[in-house]
Amino acid sequence: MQKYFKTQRLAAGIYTGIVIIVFIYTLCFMTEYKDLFGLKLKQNDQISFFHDYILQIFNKQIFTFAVFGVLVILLSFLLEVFGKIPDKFALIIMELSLLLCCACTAYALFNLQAIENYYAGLDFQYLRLESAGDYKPHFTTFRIGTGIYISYILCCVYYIVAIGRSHFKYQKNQKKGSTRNG
Amino acid sequence: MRNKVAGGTLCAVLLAAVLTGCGSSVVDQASTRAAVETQQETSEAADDKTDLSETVELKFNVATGNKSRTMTYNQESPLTLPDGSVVTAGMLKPMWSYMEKELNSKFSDVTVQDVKTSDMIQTESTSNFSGANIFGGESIAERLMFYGTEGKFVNLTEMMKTGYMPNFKEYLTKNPDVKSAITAYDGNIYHVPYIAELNQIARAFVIRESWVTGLLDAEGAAYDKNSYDVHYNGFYVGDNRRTGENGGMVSPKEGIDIVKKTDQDIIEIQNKLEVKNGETLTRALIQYIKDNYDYSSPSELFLGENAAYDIDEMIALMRCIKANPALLTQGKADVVWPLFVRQSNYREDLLRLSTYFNGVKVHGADSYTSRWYIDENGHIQYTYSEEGVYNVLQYLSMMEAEGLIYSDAYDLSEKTNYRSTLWGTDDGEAPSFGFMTYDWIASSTSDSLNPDTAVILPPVAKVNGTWQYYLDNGRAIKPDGWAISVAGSTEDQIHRACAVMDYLFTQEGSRLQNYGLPMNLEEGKDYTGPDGLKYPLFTSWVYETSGKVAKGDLSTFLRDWMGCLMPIGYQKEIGFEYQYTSERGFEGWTLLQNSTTNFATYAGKGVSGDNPNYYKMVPPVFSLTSRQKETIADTTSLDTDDIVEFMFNIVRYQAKGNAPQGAVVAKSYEEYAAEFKKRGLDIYKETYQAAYDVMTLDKK
Repeated sequence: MQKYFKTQRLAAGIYTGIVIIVFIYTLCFMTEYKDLFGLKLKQNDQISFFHDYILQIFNKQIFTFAVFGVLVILLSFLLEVFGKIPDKFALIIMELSLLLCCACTAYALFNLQAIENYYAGLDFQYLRLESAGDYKPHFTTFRIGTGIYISYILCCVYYIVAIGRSHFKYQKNQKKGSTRNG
Repeated sequence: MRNKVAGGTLCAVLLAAVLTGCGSSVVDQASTRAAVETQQETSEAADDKTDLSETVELKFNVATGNKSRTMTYNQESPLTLPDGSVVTAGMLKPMWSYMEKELNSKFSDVTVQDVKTSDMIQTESTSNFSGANIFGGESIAERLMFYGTEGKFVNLTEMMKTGYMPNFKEYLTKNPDVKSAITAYDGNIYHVPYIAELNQIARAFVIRESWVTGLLDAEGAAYDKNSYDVHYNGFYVGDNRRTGENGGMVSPKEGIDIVKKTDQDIIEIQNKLEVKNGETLTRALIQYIKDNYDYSSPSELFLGENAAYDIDEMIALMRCIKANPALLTQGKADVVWPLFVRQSNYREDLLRLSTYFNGVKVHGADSYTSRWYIDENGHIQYTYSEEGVYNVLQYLSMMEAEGLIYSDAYDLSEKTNYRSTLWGTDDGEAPSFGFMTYDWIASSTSDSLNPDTAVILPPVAKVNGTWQYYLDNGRAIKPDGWAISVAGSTEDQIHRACAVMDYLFTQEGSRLQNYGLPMNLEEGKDYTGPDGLKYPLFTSWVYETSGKVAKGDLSTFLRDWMGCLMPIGYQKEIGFEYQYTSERGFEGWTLLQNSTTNFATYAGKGVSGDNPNYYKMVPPVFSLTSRQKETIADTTSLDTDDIVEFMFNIVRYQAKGNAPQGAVVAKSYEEYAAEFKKRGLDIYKETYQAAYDVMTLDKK
């Protein structure tokens, strides 16, 4: 039983770590695209649209997801997941929360792909008219994001499985003990 | 049990992922929303929403730097209109009062009456233009566009889309060059410009006719004999002799060919004279004309429809004039000035002679700040730094050294109107005499100014690689205009301000701004111009009153007394100018219109040559982004007066070698170009090229 509990604590720890990374990522997400801010030329309309209506909205969304991820950590503390085997109530809350995290992460991954494709198709030739230098598209943020969110989803799954297994194993042991005593 | 948990979790995760994937991405959502917004905007292209049912108060801040030119009547004497109403100082000028009633508005002129437009804009920008509803004036289009993109002036494109300013919208549809010239870099329009009579000649060469005939045709003229020093060495000399293929035959008019018979250059001939004075210089010119041309009288080289003089011949004539003051003025003066500009702040008009030194470009539009031309690749090039311009400055310097240019014009603190002085004081107690200027036809040939002035064809020259007659000065979209303040206006005021601006593009409003009140125009009668078109006809009251109060200067009368023709957003018509043009002015129009003389236009049509864009005018202003403005402000210093002073130092001092201490005179083109480079020419050109690219991208 000790082994399962250790796994649960490890999963919670890993989850906490990845959520912090995700949170930092969402804060830094727009930095690489600051050159695309404030464009007014109609020739750069598509880039402005990309920056203002796609990137910024997506950034807000993933930031909200990251905040939710942080709340799940707080929930883990409240429900004492770091110190105890979760009871049924804690398990249901945690599993649902983590499933929601998975869904959000899947959404982020799916959109990162779509945004990267859109970005790759943008025409940057008129950007020089509004900024001093030649602009070269940057894909690093998207690639890092993909890596982070894949890790995040894996961590979530690991966490879900770990607490689920820990709970059910504990329940099983409890039943065995009561049968033996009876 | 373990398998059940893992399986259930995986299923749930996959389900969540699939559900998410089935939904649309943020890209699709944004695109859909944008499409819906665009569709809404398109469908919002509504009917005319102008509503004049309520009286709306509007404040105007329209600065011109001249209190006589504002909306307010600032004359000492009251003006009695034909209907008996009296306009006194402090009231709105009659045109504005009329417009106020027509548009059911209450106009207030809040302009500081003498303030310069640039100062007004500078001051008002600090309060976000909240002090008035409409701001306007001269040479502010760039500022209006810039502040417009910053959200400080109303986006007129949006207003037109939603049903306001229908007449202006229609005008822009019919005049795409105007639309493109006033569109800011973000694709929107924020101001309504003053548009001169497009596709018409602007300035032309105007001279005292009798001086030419008196010098060249008169038998036994008593020429002056004071000695004359020469400095100018000639342009058509050495390898550039005017003969054969190089301008040996030119056509001032269809069907008329003028042949120059030899490769002589009159400047060389005059310079070689042992004795140089009024008599020898003039006789040499007369002999030269006889040797080279088949004119019945020598003055025909310069006057009339067969004129075929080049820049050297023009300078030779100027020398003769300079050297014969006593003959030409009947002894009234011992100095005459062959070439002058109207006033000191027009001194850059002198540079326009560059066209006749192998077609060197200086101004791409009718503005001294328009120092660009469009090259054969469609790129803009900065003119003032080019070697051709430097060479022209050297030629002008030699002319200056000979006293051919009226020298007071270099002093910008001098405010005198030299045209009035040098042409309008012949019979005065202290007469001054000038010969030629490059100026507007109507005002320069006014009978009240001097009855001897006449328009001549421009010098013939190799322009754009082809020998031709060319005036690089067509009428342009002006950098003047007005815009509506966002911070200073309520919604009702914005709508009414739109109605005011739009009114000047209605037939009625256009007549009002171009010609004056309906009571000033003959009812049911028209004026037929030399172009065959009909225009509103002024009543005799207009001529009589302008004669009484404005020395017959109809233009000044309409501006300073009536409030018309102000540099605000409207399309100027030539019908007004025709009606105050003298007979000699009309002869000038006819001379130019019947000749092969071409001039600059936005369409840029002309004899094919080295550069297909040579004849095209550049936009009056370029709309710069904040980043571009910062770049220009931080890294360049070419928009300052001192660069022009630096250029005129060459004109004033180079040939004479008398530069005062502290005056920098470039001794070579390398030194000259280095000064421009030092002032950030490369970045300046790059930035403006980028701005020009934006303006022309849609046309490519």
